[in-house]
Amino acid sequence: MRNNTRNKMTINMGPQHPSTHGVLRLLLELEGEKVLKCTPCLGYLHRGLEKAAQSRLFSQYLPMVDRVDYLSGFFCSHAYLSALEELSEIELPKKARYIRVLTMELNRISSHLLWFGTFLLDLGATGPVFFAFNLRNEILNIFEKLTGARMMHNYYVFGGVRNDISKEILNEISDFTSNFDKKFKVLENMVTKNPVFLDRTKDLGILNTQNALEYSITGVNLRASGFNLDFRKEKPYLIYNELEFSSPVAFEGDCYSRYLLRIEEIKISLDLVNQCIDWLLAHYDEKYNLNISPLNIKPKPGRAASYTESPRGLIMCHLATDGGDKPKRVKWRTPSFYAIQILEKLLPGNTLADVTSVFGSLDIVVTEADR
Amino acid sequence: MKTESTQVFETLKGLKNSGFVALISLMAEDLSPNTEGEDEFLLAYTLYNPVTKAFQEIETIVNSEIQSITTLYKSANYDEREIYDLFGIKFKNHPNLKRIFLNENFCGHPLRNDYKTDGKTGSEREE
Repeated sequence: MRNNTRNKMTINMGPQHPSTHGVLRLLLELEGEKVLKCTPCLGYLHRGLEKAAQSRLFSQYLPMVDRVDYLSGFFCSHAYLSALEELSEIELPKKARYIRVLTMELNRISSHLLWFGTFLLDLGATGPVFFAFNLRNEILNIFEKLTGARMMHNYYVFGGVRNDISKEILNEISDFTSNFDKKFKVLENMVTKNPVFLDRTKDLGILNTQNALEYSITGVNLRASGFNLDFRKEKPYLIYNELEFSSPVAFEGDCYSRYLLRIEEIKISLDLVNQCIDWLLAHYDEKYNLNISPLNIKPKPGRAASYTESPRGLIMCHLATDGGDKPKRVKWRTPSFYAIQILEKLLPGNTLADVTSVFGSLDIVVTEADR
Repeated sequence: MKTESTQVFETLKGLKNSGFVALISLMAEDLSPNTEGEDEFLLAYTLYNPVTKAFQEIETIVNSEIQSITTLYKSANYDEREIYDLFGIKFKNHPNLKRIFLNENFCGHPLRNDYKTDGKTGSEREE
């Protein structure tokens, strides 16, 4: 659609553009190739997950929670359950905590691998996505053996996890982690120092610390802008205070540093997985049995909020109860919702071809923003 | 910390100047009807101070209207649009107070307690 002013044009990017990781429409105002204004239009994937919670029992809502962010279902399950467990004053057994961290960190790797593939696909590199999906497939196979599902696991239950982890699966995971570096190196060598990739990501979409904080950006996107905020360290949940790990920071705030930090985070997660496996193998003889009936959830009236560091940033689940058997209010604070908002700030001034670079580097998943 | 709804803007302004520069989340809950049978909503602002690494929660009770805080916290823009969309709370001086998830011709605000789930779609409904 041409505007009255000469050379200005308004176009729709999406809702079904392949690089929009879900269904999102960006209304772009262009002058030639330059973006003047960007207005994201949300809501194409709104499923009313917060409304649905109010008419379901606590345990009935649990399978839906995985769908908040389909790429990192474990994190959403944990966010919801830890708010619920806080209100019910339930302490998790130590083994369940380790199993939760183990699965979450594996999930983080799989989510970052998918991001790696699709980010490069956005930029026009069709090769890496196949390698990345191959690697991710190995994690999904492990999840399938452990939980019975490849993506919507419904594995965490009130008071722990559904079933114990077997030695066979633990060995399979340690096989995966010991071979991962060699396989991932192939991918990294293809991309990290690639001059075309550098041209398209370096010094692009720069987000400074102040803006990142004001726009409530969290996770890797914030750490790439020079501020170290990792909720695994800030508000340690489960057993993160017993594990050794670092959360690296970069100061450039451009697409390339966000890329580098995500790659770094894959390696840190790998190390965390190894630490969990060591503990679980050493305590293998402690049998884990879930001794709380999931149907018997009686939280006391009140409000609780949980903080979970998901692959994309902070997932917060606010839960309000009135002493009944259904949640009174569930509110999801999801990181992509804010990452989409920052597009209004980052895109103007860049060219149309750079929109996919910036968008991809922020690792936005629209289901999570729309809920 | 509890605050009167008319004091929220000033309280947050003071907190922002003292270092709470990030609004981590903004949550609304419908408490209506209250004892007098009126609409009543709870708003909870979670703030973060990057220097002292402290978190602060501000709670307030709103009837139908409150001052927007978009001039203080840029992230509040979408948060307030979301709350307007789902609860119908009006934010004064918001630059672009439109529905964010639901269609423009949707009637009603689905997370309100008085919203009826009677099988009708939002656009079939009458105001």
